[in-house]
Parts: sequence; structure tokens; C-alpha cells
Amino acid sequence: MSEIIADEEVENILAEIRDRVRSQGLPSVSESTEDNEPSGHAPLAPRSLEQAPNPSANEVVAGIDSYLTVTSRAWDRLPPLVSNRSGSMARIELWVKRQIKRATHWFTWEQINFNAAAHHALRDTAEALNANQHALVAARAETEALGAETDTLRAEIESLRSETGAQRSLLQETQAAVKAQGVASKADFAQVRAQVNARQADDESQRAAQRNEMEARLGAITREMRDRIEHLQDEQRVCFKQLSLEATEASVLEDRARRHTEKVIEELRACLDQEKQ
Amino acid sequence: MSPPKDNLYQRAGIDNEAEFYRTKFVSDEVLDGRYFKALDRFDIRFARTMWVYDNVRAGSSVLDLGCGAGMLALLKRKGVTLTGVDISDECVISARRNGYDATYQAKLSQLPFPDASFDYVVSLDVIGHIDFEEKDAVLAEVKRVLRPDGVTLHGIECTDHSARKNYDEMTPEELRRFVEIDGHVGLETEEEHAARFRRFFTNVAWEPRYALNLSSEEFLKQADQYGLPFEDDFLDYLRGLSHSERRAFDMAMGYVFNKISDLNLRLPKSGLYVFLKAADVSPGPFYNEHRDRSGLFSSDGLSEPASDAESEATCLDRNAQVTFDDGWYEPNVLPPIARWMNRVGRVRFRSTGLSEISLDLSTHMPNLADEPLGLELFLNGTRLCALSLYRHGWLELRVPVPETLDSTSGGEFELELRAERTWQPRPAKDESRDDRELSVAVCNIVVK
Repeated sequence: MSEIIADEEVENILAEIRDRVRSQGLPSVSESTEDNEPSGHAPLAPRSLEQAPNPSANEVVAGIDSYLTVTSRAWDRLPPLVSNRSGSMARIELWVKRQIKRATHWFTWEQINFNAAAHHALRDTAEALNANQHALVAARAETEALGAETDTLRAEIESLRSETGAQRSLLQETQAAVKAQGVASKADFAQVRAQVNARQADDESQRAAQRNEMEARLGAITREMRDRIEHLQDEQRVCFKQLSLEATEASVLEDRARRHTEKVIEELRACLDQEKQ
Repeated sequence: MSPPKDNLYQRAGIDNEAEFYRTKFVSDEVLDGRYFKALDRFDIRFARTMWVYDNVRAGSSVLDLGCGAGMLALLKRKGVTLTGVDISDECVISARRNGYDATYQAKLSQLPFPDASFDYVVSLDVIGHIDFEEKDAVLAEVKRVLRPDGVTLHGIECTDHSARKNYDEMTPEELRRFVEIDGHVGLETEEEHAARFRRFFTNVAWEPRYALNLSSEEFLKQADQYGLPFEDDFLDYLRGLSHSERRAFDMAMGYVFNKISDLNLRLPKSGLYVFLKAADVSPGPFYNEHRDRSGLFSSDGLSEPASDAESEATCLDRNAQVTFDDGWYEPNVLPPIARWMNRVGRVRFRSTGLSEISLDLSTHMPNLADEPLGLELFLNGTRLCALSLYRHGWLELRVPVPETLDSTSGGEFELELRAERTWQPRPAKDESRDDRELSVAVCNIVVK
């Protein structure tokens, strides 16, 4: 009798496990990730990353671990055959239970395998959840780091913005100064242009005066050169005339010397003739 | 005196002797014998030339040693063959231009002539410019080129050791200043010169000269540059003389100089200058050995009557029969060779059948455009023409001669030019002392 009771308890436990497993039938990871809606029958299903930072997620994983101790118990061993009766009743009961056990072995064995598969699935799911949890923690840390970096960047951007503002104001001041300078330069330029125009006019007049002076000097030089050339020509004329006169004198002297010599020769010849006679 | 052994020219800072003597002797002065005015035989400037002139034989060959610009060109009036040699190429050209028959550039100790080439070897103011080391070589060359019966004549600057420092006693600065004056690097006493010549020639005669007679210019030079002690008031008097007064002074000095020679008076040594005559033959008289001055008054042939062809035109510039009076200054190379005239200049000449006178004239007178220069031309006192020069340059003037003048002249003519005014070319320049009163320069005076 006690053995029967024990079988019933086992059956109840199994039934309870089966129900629980069925009611908590684990969805595929892809489904869970794609479908972010929480399932009423699967409270331990992973949530979206946005929900991961929820602090109750660790507790859910811890619950799954506790469940896994139960499922593992159900998986790796069957409950012993027990009976709350005593004596023959208890033996009968245990015998019956053994018979039933043997008779339902085809079923229980299948159930055990199913349980084992469910256990393994749960365990893998828990590991996956743990991994996700770790990834979430890492992502959170990274996000926090990114947030800090973002804050730093934001601060930098803020400082840059303020600096840009300062520079913009400086630029505006500079622009204003340049504009003022431009105005002043324009006035200066106008003044310089007026001066240049005046200078140009002066230069023109000076150039004209210089041109006139140069032309006058050129004229004077030309006249002087003409005078010099005339003077030289005069001088040459007189020199040539002098040379001509000297040449004439030389030829006259030569002619006279020749005549004198001829006369002397004639006289000598006459003397010789006289001596011969 | 112990002559220093190094070159005194170099010690005195004279690197180029030829250039040094070119600057001393080459000028625009005309020494051509054809332009020589007979009256200048009395000018003290020509006293040395006249000594040589009266000592060379007509028609002989003469070598002028260190001819310079041609101071002996007058010898051509004696019909000599005149050769010149000098270290300066410009002097050689100048002497040739002044009528030398041939001139050569050469060192006097290396004469470019064969042995026994000349009847006379003459030098004036040369031996005192020859370095002591070279003197004997020069005299050896003189003896070599002189014919055995030749005579050598020299006018030599001297020194007086008692009155003047020897070269080796002078400081470098004193030596530089002394040599720079005239280039005297070989001054010796009269006796030292004579002794040197005696080593080469048998007969040597010498006479100290210029102890009494110097030109006004030489008086001042000896006082100012050589420090000879003349009286200050006398020097001041000389400094104050005008050109014509200086000429009168020089003429008087020259006249006395010639008379001393003519009278054969021996002067005491002065340490200034010596005439030296040397030969291997027995020497003739020291002065006037071959005196014949007829050439100074007539040039060869031109004294003879001209033939018909020649009588067409006669140039008076170089005609010895023509007399240019003292209104004319000595000729200058302007060019051409022309005579500057004072305010009035006269030319006396003989001619038959005079119909035209032509001449070229010019002036350098300033401000001619503002104040033209008036000129008048007279022939035998009759005015032929009057004209005004209003521009510089040469003017060819042709003046016809009236027949009445020609017929009444008897062949004797006096051409007279009168200028309205004169000017002094460089009156403010003390160095030149050229205070001549000039009006016009005239040349190519041709009579037909």
C-alpha cells in the first residue's frame, strides 16, 4: 500500500513537472529575440536588450537554476519505490508498484528522456541567458563608458562651442575692425590716388619740362657738334692748304736744286770739253 | 764725387723716363727752322742753338743726341743733314715734324747707327740727365758714330759741390724734389765733365756759361726751384715783367751772351752750365768756327728770283726773305702752324706784280658773338679792307690789290693787320706766365 502511495506521489511529481514544462515550453532564441512580448507561460524567457538592464533578470536566472536542480533530479534518477504501509500490505503495495513501474517503463522512460531533453534545454537556455546577462552587463558597462565618453565629448563640444562662440565674437570684432579699416583704407586709398594723380600730373609736367630741356640740350649739342665739325673742317681745310703750300715749296726747291745741279753738270761738261780741245 | 750705384730716376720715383721727358719737352711750340725769325738769334733761349749753329760746317751731317722736340732744327738753315735720337717716341715725332731729316727712338748708349756716321754729334742739356753708370757708355757711342775728324759739341748742366749737396747726401725726399724739376740725375762739375770726355777724346775744350746771362724765366727757376741766391727785389722785378718786357730782357741777355762768345771772354765757373767741345783732331776756335749766318736771312733758293711758273703764288709763312715784325709771336701748332698776332702785326716782303693777298685767320677770343672783333688790313699804309670776326673757326680771306698800289710800290710791300682789341689766353694761371696779348692767328699768307 505504501508502495502505491509512493507511485502516486511520483506520478504527481512527474505530472507536475510535465505540466510545468509544458506550460513553460521554452521558445526558440530567435523567436524570443524577435518577439519581445513577454510570455505569460514563459516568465523566464529572455527579454530584449533594452530590458536586459532590469535588475530582476538575475533573479529570474537564479530561479531557472533552482528549477534546473529539480529537473535534474527528475532527469537523472527516479524516485524510489516507497510505501507508507507496513507488512504485507506494504510488500504488496511495493510489488504492485514495481509491476506498474515495469509496466509503465515504456512511458516513464520516454518521460525521462523528455525530461532530460527539457533539462538540457533549460540548462543551455540558462547558460545562454547567463551569457546574455554577461553581454548585457558588458554592454551596459560599455554603454556607461560610452556615456562617459559621450559626456566628455559633450563637454568638449560644449567647450568647443563656447570657444567657437568666443572666436565668433572675436571674428565679428575683427570683421568690424576690418570693415572699419576698409573704410579708412578706402579713404586713404582715395587720398593716395589723389596724391598719385597729383604726382602723375607733376611728373607729366616735369617730364614735359625735361623733354623740353633735353630737346634744348640736344639742339645745343647738335649745334655745338655742327660748330665743331665746321671748325674741324675749317681746320682741315687750312691744314691741307698749308700742306699743299709746303709741298709746292718743296717741289720748287727740288726743281731749283735739280736745275742748279744740271747747271753745274753742264759747266763741268763745258770745262771738260774745253780741256779736251 | 762718388756717384751712387743705383738708378737715381727710380729713387726719385720716375718709372718712365720717356714719358717724363715727353711732358718736359713736347709742346705746341714750333722749332722748325723755316719759321725762325732772324731777330731771335739774339734771344737767350736760342743762345746754345746759335753756339752750335756757328760751330758746324754747312752741308755737314749732324746727330742731335737727345733731340727732344728739335731745338737744333735751326741747323737746317745751314743745309746740314740733321738726325735726331731720343728715348721718347713723342719727342722723336715732334723733332721730325720740326724739320729733322731723320729721327730715331733709342737708348743713347745703344745708338742705331754705323761707325763713323756723322761729322758732328751734338747734345744740349742731355749729359746732365744721363745716369752716372750709363755716361761712359754714351760717350763711347758718341765716339763710335763720330767720324775720325768729327767734332762733338755739348751744352751740359753742371753742379757745384760746394754749394749743392751731392746725390748721396740728399734725403729721399730732397732727391725726389731735385730730380723732379728737370730730371737731372747726372750733374757733375765742369772739370768732372771735361775729365770724363778726356777719357774718350784727345782734345777737349770747355767754357763755363750762363754765369752772367740767364733768361728771365731761368733766373726765377734757379731761384725758386734750385735755391740760387739772387736778390729778392730783382726777382720781384722779373716776376712783374710782361711778356714783351720779358722778351726785351731775354733779347738783351742773349745779345750780351753772344758778345761774350764773339769776344772769346772766359767766364768764371758758376756750377750752372758748360759748353764743351771735343775731338780727336786739333780743335778749331771754341766759338764761331764755321760762322755763316746768311742762312738766317734767306732760305735755300727762295732768295733767288722765282721763275714764271713759281711766281704765280708765293707763301710768306716760311720764306726767309719775309720779315715778320715783333707784333707776331712765335708760331704754334694749333693746328695748323700759325702765328699769333698782337694788336698790330706787320709783314715785309718783296714781290713783283702783286694782284691778290690771301690768308687764313682765326681767333680764340671769348665773347665773339656779343662783341665781334674788328680787323683792318693795310698794304703800304693803304687800307685794303675791314672786317669783323663774329664766330670762331678759320676764315679764308682773299683781298685784291689795286693796280695803283702795285705800280707805285717798287716791289717792296708791308702788309699790316690791325686788330681792334686783344685778350690774354691764361692771364690768371701763374704757372704758365702766358700773358701774351693775342688777337688773331694767321697762316697761309699767299701773295699773287
